[in-house]
Amino acid sequence: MKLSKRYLLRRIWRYRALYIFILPAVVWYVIFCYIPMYGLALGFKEFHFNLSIWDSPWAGMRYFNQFINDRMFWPLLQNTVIISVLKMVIGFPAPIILALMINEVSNKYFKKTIQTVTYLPYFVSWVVCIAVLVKFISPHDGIINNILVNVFHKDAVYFMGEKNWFYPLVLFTDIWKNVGWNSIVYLSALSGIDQQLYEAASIDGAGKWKSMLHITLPNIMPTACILFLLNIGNLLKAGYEQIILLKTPGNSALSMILDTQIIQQGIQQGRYEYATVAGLFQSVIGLILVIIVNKITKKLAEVSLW
Amino acid sequence: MKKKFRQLTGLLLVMILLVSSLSGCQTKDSKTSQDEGDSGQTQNVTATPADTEKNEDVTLKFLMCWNGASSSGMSDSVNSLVAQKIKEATGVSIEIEYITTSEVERLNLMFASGNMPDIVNAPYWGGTNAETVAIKKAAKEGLLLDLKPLIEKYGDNLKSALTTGIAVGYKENDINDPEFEGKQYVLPQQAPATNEDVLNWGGGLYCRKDILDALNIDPASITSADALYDLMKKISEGGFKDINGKDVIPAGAWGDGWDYVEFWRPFRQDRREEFDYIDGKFVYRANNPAVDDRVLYMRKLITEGLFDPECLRQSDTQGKEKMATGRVAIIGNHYFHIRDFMNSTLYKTNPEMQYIAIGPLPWSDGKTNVVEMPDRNGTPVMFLPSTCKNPEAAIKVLNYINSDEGQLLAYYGVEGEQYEMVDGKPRMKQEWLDKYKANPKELQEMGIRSTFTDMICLDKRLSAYGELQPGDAENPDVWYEQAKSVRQIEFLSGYTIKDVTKNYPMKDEISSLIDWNAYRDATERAYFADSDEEALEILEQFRQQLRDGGITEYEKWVTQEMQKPEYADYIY
Repeated sequence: MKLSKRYLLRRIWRYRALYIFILPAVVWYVIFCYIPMYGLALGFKEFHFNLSIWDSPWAGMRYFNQFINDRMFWPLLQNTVIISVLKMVIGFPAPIILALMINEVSNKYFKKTIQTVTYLPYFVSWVVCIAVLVKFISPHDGIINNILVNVFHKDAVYFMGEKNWFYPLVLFTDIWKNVGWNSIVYLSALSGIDQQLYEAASIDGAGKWKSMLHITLPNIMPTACILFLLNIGNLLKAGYEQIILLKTPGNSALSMILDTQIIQQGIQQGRYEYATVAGLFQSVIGLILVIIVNKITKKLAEVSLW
Repeated sequence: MKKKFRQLTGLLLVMILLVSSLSGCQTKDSKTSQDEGDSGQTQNVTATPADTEKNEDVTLKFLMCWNGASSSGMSDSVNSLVAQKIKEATGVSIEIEYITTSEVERLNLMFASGNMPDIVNAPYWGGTNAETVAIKKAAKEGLLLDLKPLIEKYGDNLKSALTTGIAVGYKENDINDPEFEGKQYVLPQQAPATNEDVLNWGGGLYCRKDILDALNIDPASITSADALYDLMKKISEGGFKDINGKDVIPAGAWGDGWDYVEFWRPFRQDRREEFDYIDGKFVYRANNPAVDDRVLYMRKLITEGLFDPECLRQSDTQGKEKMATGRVAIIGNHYFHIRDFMNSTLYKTNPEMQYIAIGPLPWSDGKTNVVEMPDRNGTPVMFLPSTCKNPEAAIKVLNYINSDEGQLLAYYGVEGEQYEMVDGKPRMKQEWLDKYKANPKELQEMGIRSTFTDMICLDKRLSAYGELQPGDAENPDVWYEQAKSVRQIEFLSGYTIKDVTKNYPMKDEISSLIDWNAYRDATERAYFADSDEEALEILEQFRQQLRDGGITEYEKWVTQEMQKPEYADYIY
């Protein structure tokens, strides 16, 4: 035991430069993710403005019961899961496809331009993104409706208010905003593939398509699996900014989700205990899912987080 | 050597990264002191009353906790003309902050974080209203100062505001909530000083006059939901344009649908909040069958393109964009809001697009008068958080602004410069009146008719000055007079049904059920249903949820309680 500890210390000293590199990240997580965890106690306390979280009196499971027994609980959960699953099924492969396409582009300038254009929306806030979208699809003077009305002689459509348009809008904005940024990881994975594999394949007579199928995809699969695992943890978090901004009376049957409930019924109304319990619920379910899926991928694809 | 150098540079880089990533974590104290240093203002904070009596410079932070209030604010509340005069008189400078989030969110955040300004003006509508609940919680938990001894000592001009112009139930249950144990935590604001000062806000529907003229329609002829629908239809077919040449939208509202409720008038009862009164029974608002008719009416308007579907959840900016160009033909709101906004936008270039009151549309029971209480049953309030750095100075400056001199300063500016007294009443000088009519913002920036008027507790403009706005006494605002004639008021005073429903034993359990937003969401969702049947189905589902949550028991309880003789003269 003692020996292995000394060995560990010696190893740390030997690779001290690497450990120092990782230090800021560790410090960041401790300060912003681990220390605030004591705030979870708030979900089981009755918060007083004049007392700290610790000093406020205990309330037991009152807020948890309130949250679970809320008449909106099941519809909210259902809406949240549907949006998350859709984002996962349709939104998840998008950056992989983009990365594969960018990888095939040989003109350097064209490639750089495409990359910059696709990254850009990631750095723009949701408020701005949706404001731009609303302008485009507005029933009054929106460019899309102008084309519909003037070119195709159709009636103007209030896209934001039609529940049939809600999921397409969610997916479209989600992909538009994140696809470029998310493709970076895959691009780096692609650049790490040994070029000799491609050479060997082409000698064996494989074309572009076959090379992609048998070399590229299997090589980036571990990366994809890891990212998928990390995404699973957010299954009950469907993105509050995006959904709150897209929510209108017309689509509210689909757009009421746990995140919007936390903001609107919890934080805005000052029901911090309720908001904490709801947030904790999302995280615990997320953690359980990650553990289960991790087990499954470990067995099936031999890829796992730990 | 080279390796060592590389290691050292690497280490250096890591340290820089570490330091920069932690630089956001400085303590609150150090940040505040830096901010204060940056602002470049003298912050000679004094703590004892003896010091303030010498009128030493004090800067107090005033939070105007009303979303949108910045539009009547000024960009420099410390150096504007009125602010300078206030400082000369009291030694106090007031730094005003405006909010851009919802009021209740800001209040809760402020109380929970303990990061509070020195004076706050916030909504306090009483009862179970969210802002009221937050302020009461803060008061009971010791986050607000008891104003009683302070007003006793330094606030002679504030005393009458504690008793004047506020409804008896509101005074007993909210302003002086029994749980405050005799302490005075909030100071009501905006209540009328005398009965003459009770304001007719002119709330109702307004239509662009040039359109009515072109269609040759008398605004007084719009007296039913059908007449309103016909008018919209004619507007839609009339090919009317806004100032940019775009087709007008027949009907709509400002940000977040404000205040399209005016379109519902034929489908609701006057003055009803939680409960409607049908055949001797008190019925929760969503259970009134007239809601079905309203939903179908609104659905018809939306599907036929007569009502702007976007307006229900549009942002404030989107709403203003439409209003500033005369894009929406019929809007619901109160007179002053429309006038103040249009004066500085649409009317400047297109005075012919004046919005004038149409109707009156009768309520569902056929009445056309609006019942109002002369005494306010909910007001904005001012309060001092416990961290107020100089409570004496705060009350003294409020006391000054509430003096005759201070009120004139806030409404008219400096005597001899902007106004002079004529027969004991202030009259703005012609030069300034012209400026005010041309661009009210210019005077606002000087602090005249700006946020300082939101520190005046009792409104006595009509009784003391004979006019609401400069120039009104000589040249009455004809369109306000017209709006008043459309919206005739009937006065009632006394306790209200709210003073009974607050005693319901299960109030906490049903509070989220009877939340206005839940009701609003359900009915508005029904507007967008694919068919009338589906719309009614959505309503029925909501009513089922209400029943499951115990609304029937609540209705029964209220009906029984209201039959008790002690509540016989309560207003419902």
